[in-house]
Amino acid sequence: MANRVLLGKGTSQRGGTDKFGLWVSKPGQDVLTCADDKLIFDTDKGGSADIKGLFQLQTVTGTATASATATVSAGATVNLSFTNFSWGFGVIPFLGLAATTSGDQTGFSNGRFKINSFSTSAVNITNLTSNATVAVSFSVMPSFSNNARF
Amino acid sequence: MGNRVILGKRGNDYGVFVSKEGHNVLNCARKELLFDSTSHRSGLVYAGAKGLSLSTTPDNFLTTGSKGNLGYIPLVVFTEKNIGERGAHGSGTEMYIDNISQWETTTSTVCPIEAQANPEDGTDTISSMDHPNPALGRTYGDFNTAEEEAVNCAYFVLRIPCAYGYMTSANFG
Repeated sequence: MANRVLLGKGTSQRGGTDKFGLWVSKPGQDVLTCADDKLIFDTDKGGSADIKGLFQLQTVTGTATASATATVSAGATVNLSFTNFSWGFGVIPFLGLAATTSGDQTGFSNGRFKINSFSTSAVNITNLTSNATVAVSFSVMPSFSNNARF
Repeated sequence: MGNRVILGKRGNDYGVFVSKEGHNVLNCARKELLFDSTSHRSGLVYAGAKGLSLSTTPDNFLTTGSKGNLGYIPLVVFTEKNIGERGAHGSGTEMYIDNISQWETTTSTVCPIEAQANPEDGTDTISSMDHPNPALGRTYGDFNTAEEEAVNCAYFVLRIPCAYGYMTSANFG
């Protein structure tokens, strides 16, 4: 069975023995020697070309749910507020049309909207539909950098 | 407060396990785990961007930090100003798309695109599958530019293959 978890001092493949961290390899891969792409958790080498973080969406309601759903009236522009997490590089909001279920069928709601702006604690959106409410789901990610690209 | 972290045995598996808040990592369902080392891929963010305005020029996500090519087309998660359906009536035409936020991804770039489905031109047939490929940029003739443009775009490039030809045991086994 392959070594799967390395907690502590790195190896040459993990950036050198002067590096410390936590690395976890995929099943069947030796965490001591496998390529970076075979890792499912990687505290990296601290280099500019390394992993920047984990894609993990944050709750926006202060509860244990991973996302929230809101409805916006036809043609309306509203602020959807959420907890200010005080992340140093701000937030990136993710919004989509909410799921809807009718009978045994589940799909996305109809609708169209645009994100006008966002801050660390709210996102401002406009429902572009003139005659129907739109249901949106949303959550947020921390931004990893002040730079446009990272 | 529930147990949140296991380094060792969970059921019949050994590894690292982290549960969501309020769930006991010792016995919760797998869907309640934030991290599960029995998985073959996780959402490691390899590259990304925010606040971009893009048109027809693909954005190269490998240039910052001189990142190496992953060797596959990765899963990229997008968000931008314009989301959802768009539709319009033109002179003798009707255009509709169920999500304006369409993107092309390659092993090194991302680019907003528009669909190219126009059976009325008399040259496309379903049987021949000869519809043209999506075009780079978004300039649908009948849509309001402000409601289709790719502005304030953010994306996260994940170290997860996501394209035909790459969904193989070599990448996921």
